[in-house]
Amino acid sequence: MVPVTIQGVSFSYGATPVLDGVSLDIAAGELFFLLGASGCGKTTLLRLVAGFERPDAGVIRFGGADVTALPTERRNLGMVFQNYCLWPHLDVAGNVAFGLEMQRVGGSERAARVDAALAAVGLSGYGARKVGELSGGQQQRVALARAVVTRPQVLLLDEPLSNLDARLRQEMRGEIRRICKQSGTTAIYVTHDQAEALATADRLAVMVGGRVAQVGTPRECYARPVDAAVARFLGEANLLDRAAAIRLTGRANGELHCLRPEKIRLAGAGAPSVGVTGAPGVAAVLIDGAYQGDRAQWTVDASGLRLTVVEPDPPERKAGDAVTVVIAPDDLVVVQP
Amino acid sequence: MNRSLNRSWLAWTLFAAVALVLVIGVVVPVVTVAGVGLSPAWIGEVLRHPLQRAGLGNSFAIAVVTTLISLAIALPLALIGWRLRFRGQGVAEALLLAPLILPPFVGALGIFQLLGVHGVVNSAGAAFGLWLPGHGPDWLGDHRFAVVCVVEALHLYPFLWLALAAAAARLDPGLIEAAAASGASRLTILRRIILPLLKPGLFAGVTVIFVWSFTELGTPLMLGFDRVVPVQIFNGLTELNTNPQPFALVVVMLVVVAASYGLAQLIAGRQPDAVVVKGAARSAGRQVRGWQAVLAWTPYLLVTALAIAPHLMVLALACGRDWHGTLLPAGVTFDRFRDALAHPNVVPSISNSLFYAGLATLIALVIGFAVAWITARWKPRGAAALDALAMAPLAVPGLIMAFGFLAIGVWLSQQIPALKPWLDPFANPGPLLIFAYAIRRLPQVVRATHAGLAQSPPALEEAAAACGANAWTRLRRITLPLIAASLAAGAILCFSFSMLEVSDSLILAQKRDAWPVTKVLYDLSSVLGSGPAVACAFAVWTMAFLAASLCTAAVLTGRSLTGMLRE
Repeated sequence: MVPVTIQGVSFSYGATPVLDGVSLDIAAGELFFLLGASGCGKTTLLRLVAGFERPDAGVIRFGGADVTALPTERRNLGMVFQNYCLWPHLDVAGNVAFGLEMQRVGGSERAARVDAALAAVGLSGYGARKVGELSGGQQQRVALARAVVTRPQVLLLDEPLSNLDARLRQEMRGEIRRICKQSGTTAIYVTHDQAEALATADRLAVMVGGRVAQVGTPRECYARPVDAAVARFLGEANLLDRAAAIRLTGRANGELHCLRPEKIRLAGAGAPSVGVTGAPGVAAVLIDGAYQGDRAQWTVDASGLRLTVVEPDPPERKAGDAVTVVIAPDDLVVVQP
Repeated sequence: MNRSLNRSWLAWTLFAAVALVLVIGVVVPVVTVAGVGLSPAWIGEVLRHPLQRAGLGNSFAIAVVTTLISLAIALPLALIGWRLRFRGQGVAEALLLAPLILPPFVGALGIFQLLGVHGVVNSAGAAFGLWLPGHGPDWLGDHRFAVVCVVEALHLYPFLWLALAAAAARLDPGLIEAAAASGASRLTILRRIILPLLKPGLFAGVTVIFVWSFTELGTPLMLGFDRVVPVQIFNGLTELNTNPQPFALVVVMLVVVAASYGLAQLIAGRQPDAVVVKGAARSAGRQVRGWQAVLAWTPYLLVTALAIAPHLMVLALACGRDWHGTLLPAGVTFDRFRDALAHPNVVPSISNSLFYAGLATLIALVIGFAVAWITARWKPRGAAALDALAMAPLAVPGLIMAFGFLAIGVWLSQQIPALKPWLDPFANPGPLLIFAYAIRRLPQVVRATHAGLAQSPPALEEAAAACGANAWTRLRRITLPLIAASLAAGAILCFSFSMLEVSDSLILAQKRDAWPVTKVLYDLSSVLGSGPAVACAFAVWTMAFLAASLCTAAVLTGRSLTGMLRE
């Protein structure tokens, strides 16, 4: 269990810059997420931490030790790959035991630890199976067991759930969090799925265009995004400039604001002012929307401003309905453009 | 930082070492031959001398006619296979590839019995009353040119068929349907749509066959057709020190080969991108059943029967007793198989060939794996050039390469007498033969290994690194086991084809007790009396060995023989 420090790391593939001066401090035992759209450099950063690539500049430390130039096999890592990467010529137990062999853990201890690791991922008794006989979810569990069985000081997970179906994905992310917390290892988890990150991470870094845009807890990053890109990437966001903010709430705190759709309340037409906040209502027209069962996502036109609104337990509404949107001024979060 | 520098230094050392071996094995022989023979006086003399002019003309004519016959065989078969689907098509197509594993050199032994004045064909003709017994046409005397062309075409058509079938498989059926919808007749579609689209595959195959038949030594040599360039070069070897003529002939040959490649490139041009169908291509085939399927099978069986007839003849000759002027032998005997193994030259030649081919395979595996790793995994600048260099032995005729090795060996042992026991083919042809075999069969090993590496994702090795395995352990525990089947297939192909290699063996093995199998076969076949029959029995042994090792390779890789040869 060691902290991981990334300092001023830059990397480019040929002439294409991928990472530009990335710095992160990841605490010991933390489950830390790298979140971003494809091409933002998150996987490259993970590969640098793993040692598959060398940074052009910058330093990576595990604990106090500079590992920047250390080859992968000497970094004491565990890694879960997007395509699992189980070795097809070894059986399940052979895959899990490989890392222990490298650590020269022998005989009965090795067997016991392989069994324990398989039990931890719910695959007791699968040791003699061929890798090809397993389902996607089971392969994922073997990959996880293989990564943690060596008790690595850092666990790396590269989009580990992206090849699973939605249901299994939800089940596995709880599983991964449980195993990480049980082993107490420092884990770095790469994903483009913001729901996965918000639900699972201790802290996360949102990466945009090869830079870290924001680091924080899921709640901080969602509620207080630093800029428009982060706001848009983490869920839906209404971005309002100074004039729009004044028109909707009567005041503005900055040049650009993020307003989350679920912070907007809809009331019937003609309601001048609603709720304990005392904020004024603005007349609007419903343009269209999607009913999603427990909630609905509407698009409304509030005197020329298009807004996305999420309404829980929605009443029957249809396009063309006149409504009043009610916004508390404190819910407008100032963001950088 | 130090360590990564260290690693790239190691990798570049490997790159340099492999490149050096390839340059020595591929570039130097060709350059040497060109350099030694490139004298205007000698080349002028060769071009003026009536015998050599006749040889050049004959070689050129053989190449043209062989190519045309191959085309006449392969194009219809490729079109049938593309348009029709019938039961057992896979088997029919596998049969077509039989010539790839049957050395034409061996088949030539059977040709005499088949087409000799007192051979099977003439006996059959006499039986049907076409001519009096013993007075049939002298095929091998009067029609030797035609016989050489047909035998070579029956050996070489698979290359063209493979190229055409692959090109046809990439044709988008929609293009043909569009032409039909525009009102084009079948013949017009063939002429205006299909053939132009097949052009790149066609030229690739045609070039290979043209070059191969222009430089083929084994077939005309065995059939006694002396007035062609390769045989003239071979016969000139005995007076190499006094007569520069073979070198000049090789240069002329090299020029013709290079010009053929260049011309093909120029005419064929590039494959238009639109032709390539990505993903699930619709099958263009029409399912046929019953008598139509039988009809579809017929050309496949006919071509295969013609192609393997000489080899069946070799088998029959090995078993037949007193076979002269009759349709069938007087009796059956298996003594020849025993005699063959008891012949004083045979046993040493088997152990020689096993030794040469074994060592050559080992060398080809090491170099081939290094090349494949560099081109499939590391991919540095220059990887493509390295790959091209390793694949070049496919394009450079065996005769030219063999001649280059001979020239280097002779020259080096003259310059540095200490090297004479190792490099002079007249003193010890072993090292040269081993290296020549290895280089000759390197393309097969590189392709097989490259395919294996390309199929096993590099992330599997990264996963091992993440588990703490160092580079050597990753190679030993992950990479090599994963591609073991591919390596084994490449090794067996390399080994078995080295056992039956002709050009290098005939030219480089200049010392009797170092003769490999093929040289002994050639020698036996020219011994009067029982020689040819014993040679046939020996040839049957070698073909059985080849078949067994190819089947082993197929079993090891879990793939069909056809799939392996297609590679």
